Amino acid sequence: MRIVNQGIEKIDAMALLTGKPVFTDDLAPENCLVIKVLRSPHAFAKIKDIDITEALKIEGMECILTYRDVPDKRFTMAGQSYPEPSPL
Amino acid sequence: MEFIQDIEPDLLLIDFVRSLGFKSVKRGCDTSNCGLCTVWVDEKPVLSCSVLAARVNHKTVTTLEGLEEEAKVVGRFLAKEGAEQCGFCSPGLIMNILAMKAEFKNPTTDDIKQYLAGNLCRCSGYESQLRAIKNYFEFQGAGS
Repeated sequence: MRIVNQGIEKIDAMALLTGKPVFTDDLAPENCLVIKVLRSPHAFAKIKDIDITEALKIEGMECILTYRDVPDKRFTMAGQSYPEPSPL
Repeated sequence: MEFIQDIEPDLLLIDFVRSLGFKSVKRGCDTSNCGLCTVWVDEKPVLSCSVLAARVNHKTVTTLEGLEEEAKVVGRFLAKEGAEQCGFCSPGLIMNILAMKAEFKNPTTDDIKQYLAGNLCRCSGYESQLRAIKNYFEFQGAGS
């Protein structure tokens, strides 16, 4: 019974407690890109098209990612862990 | 350490110290409620989200980085009780535990609860923190 009923300290306990830079905002570099998520202003609607031409003109805009930039199927439906070797 | 810098009049102390690399100072509520951004100004705890950086001109600001040894001692007690979970509130809490130590030799449970009422934690439920803090002060009492 060395483990059962014994408290176990978390491995990251002391780094958290002594205020080490371990959170995302602590690690973000000064000049890092800022990502904003644009959500639909409509509660129930079908998105037919996304026009990004105007938004791309904004100064400092690095890129705009939409459904066009991600694959249709992003994960296997069969419950295997990643990476899953069989073809989708 | 001394910092000489031209700053904007509306720069908050929390943003100033974080920009200088003192990342133990966490931004929690940003409305002076949660205690996460606690630093000492001339040895007294303040909420750095509601202090202008300009107001600490010529003053001594202490963050947990400057209390590393003390933080480790308190931290050991908190870790032992599992009183940190996400750990985001821990540095601010330890700043106030150490400030309390300067004012109280033997704080009662009520003293502790009252002194640390401004340090919110959304993980622990406070019981583990309270156990750890009591153990810490008992250890301090035994040591002196």
